[in-house]
Amino acid sequence: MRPSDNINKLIKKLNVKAGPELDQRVHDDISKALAESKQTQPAPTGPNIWRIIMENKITKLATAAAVILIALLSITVLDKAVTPAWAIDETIDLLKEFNGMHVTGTMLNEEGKEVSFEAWARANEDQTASNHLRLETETGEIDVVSGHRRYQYDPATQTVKITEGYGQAMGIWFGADFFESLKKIVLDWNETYGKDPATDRDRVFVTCSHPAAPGPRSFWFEFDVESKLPISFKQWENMVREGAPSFYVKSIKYLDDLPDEMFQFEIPEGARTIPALAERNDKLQDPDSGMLIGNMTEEQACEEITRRYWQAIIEHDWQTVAMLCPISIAQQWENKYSGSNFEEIVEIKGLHQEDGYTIVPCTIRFDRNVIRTINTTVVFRTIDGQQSCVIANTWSQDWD
Amino acid sequence: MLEDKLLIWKFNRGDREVLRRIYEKYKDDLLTLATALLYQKTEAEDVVHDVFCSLIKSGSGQKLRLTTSLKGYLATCVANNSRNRNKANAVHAGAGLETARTIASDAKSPDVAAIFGEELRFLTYSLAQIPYDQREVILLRLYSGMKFKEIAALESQSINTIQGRYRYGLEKLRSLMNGEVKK
Repeated sequence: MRPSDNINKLIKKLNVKAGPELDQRVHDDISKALAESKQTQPAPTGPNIWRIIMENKITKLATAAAVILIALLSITVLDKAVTPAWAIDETIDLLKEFNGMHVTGTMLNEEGKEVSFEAWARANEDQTASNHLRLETETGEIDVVSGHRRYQYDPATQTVKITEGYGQAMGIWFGADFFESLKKIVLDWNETYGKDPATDRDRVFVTCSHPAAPGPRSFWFEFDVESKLPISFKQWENMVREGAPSFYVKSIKYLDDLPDEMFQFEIPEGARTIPALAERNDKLQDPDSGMLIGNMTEEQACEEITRRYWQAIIEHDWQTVAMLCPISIAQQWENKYSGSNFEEIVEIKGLHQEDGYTIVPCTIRFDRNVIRTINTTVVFRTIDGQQSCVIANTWSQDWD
Repeated sequence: MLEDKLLIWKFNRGDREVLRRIYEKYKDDLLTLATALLYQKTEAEDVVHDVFCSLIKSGSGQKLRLTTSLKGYLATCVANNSRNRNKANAVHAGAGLETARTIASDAKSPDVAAIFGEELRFLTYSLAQIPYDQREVILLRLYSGMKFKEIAALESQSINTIQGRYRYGLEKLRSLMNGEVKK
């Protein structure tokens, strides 16, 4: 091969390393400018961005603490009485200040294989859920939810599925409201005090479980005592924290906010886009699905289809569930809900419109007298001159 | 790319501390580009320093409204600064051709081999012999990964002109490198 054939490769190989002198010149100038800026400008009134835990100050304190404690402590799990005070209420108060988070961890994919991921999320206005999420996996999948639009990039098929009218990216937000509700509703909140062996920082480990979140779930949270913030989290789809966690967040960094740009999606070069709305619409337009309205008013029809749907789930009648909510087949509904302990419908109340969709809240009693309200989205259609309705999706942000 | 978006966002919110991260992330790329344009490492270091000085001095009121990537934006700054220096050097040396010869000669010197390595000696020698405008387009395109459209905007030229420079420059580069092998 001639050298000219390699021009592109050779040019990419060009590499000149910046030396320590240049480093010092630039860093000194930045330091000088920052110092001048502090002297000449009033204290910044804007938001204090990137308040990330594990700042230098905390690290220094941890080092000092390690020196003092090293002669006294040789075990990692400590007596609660000798550790710094921590209460979930302090965490709850603090979490109200943060609207963004960055997490890394692993989750089990559909085949049960562990996949690493990194995600950024922004809380909605009342910090109860998230409508903005960006999740990237080690295998190259990218999932971005921005408001009511969702992009799902699959590098294997080089496709981007774009779903319009998407619901919430996360039905819960790991903020003040979540921990406040969790403490009230879980069955076995248990706090253990200990230390992080790597940094010697004080930690609180909380375990708890819930029979219908939906389905049985157990949790493990790790809180940093000094910062008061949760720093890692595990979730199992059983009540006893058995087997590999379905979701393991190894690091959580709470942020004041995140920019809109984080939730913009650029279609990768060569990728094909798939309009997922059409796909979902096709399913929702299936003439064999749904419930005929007949003489009912729209309000009555909404309540009736919601009642039939949840009753079918309680009775494990997966064919009826799939007929009323045709976005998945019966087997998929069975896989999703067969482990859940739905016991009875308590009430169907509070029908309202949201972004052009009809939402029907349904309150359900689960095993061990746990009560939850789940929103049901109802869509109306006219097929062959007959008006009918189907359920498009269900979601919940109410834990109590 | 995502980190860059966050860095720009923080910069635009007045956080000048992020310049440290931006510098650390791109310093080698920018210094390489400037060195390949100017063939003077000391001057290339001044270029990179100048680019960051202008960002530092831009004050908290200035925002980066980028139409390209952060890397592309910084490469543009380096290219602009290098071009100005090249013009000033050409005027100082008195003649463009003479300057080109000096650069080509410099490019063959052991110093340049020490900077870029023996493996790239042919390439750097050949690059030094093609006109500055063509060299700049080739480096911005192939080294910095900029699009023709972005380079055209940087140089206030049409895309056709930029593509022409790229094509002619590459042909000349190929010819020079093949010739060097025959010798």
